[in-house]
Amino acid sequence: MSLSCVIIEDLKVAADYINNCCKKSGLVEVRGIFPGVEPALKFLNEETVDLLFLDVEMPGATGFDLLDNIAYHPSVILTTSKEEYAYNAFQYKVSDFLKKPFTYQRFLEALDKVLEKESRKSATETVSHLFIKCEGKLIRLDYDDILFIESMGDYVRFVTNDKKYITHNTLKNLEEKISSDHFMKVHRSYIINLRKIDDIRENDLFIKGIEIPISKAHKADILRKLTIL
Amino acid sequence: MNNEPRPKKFIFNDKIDEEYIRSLYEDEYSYITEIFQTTLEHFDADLQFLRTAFEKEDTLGLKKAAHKLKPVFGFTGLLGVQEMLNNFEQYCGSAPEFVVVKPQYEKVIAELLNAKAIIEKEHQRLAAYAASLI
Repeated sequence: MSLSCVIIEDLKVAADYINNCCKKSGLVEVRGIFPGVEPALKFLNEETVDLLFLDVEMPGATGFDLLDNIAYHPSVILTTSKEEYAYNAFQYKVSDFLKKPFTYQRFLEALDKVLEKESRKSATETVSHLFIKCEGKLIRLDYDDILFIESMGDYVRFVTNDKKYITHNTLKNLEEKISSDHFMKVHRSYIINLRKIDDIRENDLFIKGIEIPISKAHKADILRKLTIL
Repeated sequence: MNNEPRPKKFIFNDKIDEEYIRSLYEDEYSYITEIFQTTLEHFDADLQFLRTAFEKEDTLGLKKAAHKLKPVFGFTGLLGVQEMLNNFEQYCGSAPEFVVVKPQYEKVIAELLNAKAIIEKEHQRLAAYAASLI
């Protein structure tokens, strides 16, 4: 498996080193090297890549600002010399955190994590349906038929165009298993099908006339997932 | 049969952590030469961030510049200089006012210029050594 990446790093010697590690691995194609967030965002708004090698502290905007503004979610390996960013790294779900300078071996370990994540993602993306246990049988639900999933304590309710199914499960468990391309948690009690949103008003969204709250914590994430012109 | 003598193993300046350098680049001498060259090409511009912050009496700016410059010395195996910058970064972060930073700053600049001289000399030696391997 080969990944495309960009390197966002203002320290030239570090950028060269990462570039060399990518070449040496034969697993990563470097599509661009940028010394700051602004030129990188310009590129990333026009082209998609699988992976970012991202420094945090750069002149102007920070690496985290880039993650707040990018329209999609590539894998991210943070390259920094400050361990204090580990908490933010966790918040932004980055794949790994490389403290500069790092050895080639350490680089490969980080790359392994991304490759593993990417292969899990492709396995999920080829599936377009799920089965739920309901009324003593396994029922197939196509992703495209599900409008949203609502938490009901130890149960969840799958709402489709014409039916509702209640099954024993939790939103947390479902969130990990279903395609993040189709579905997204927008509130502690709701996972919605992104392709079914009719409109969004302030802190609510509507699907087939049904009002679903969006929590503050998820608002920015959902807006990032949408194509807004 | 090739009777040419094999070049001796390259011995780095004793301020450079050889083991660390080899952990990063193994024995790729032409690549190590490139890294030293890139470091030198950007050295003055990188140092200027420190100087500018100092001129502006900007302690936070000094902290940021030291942080930014720190890995450069990791990449060139000057781990003592990297550590010194780390200490300076911490110092700037906790200094109550700019005036107390000044004496430390002067020591840091002197050390960095000394480090630059070491990198320059090692770069020349590395380039000659890498060429002898071809």
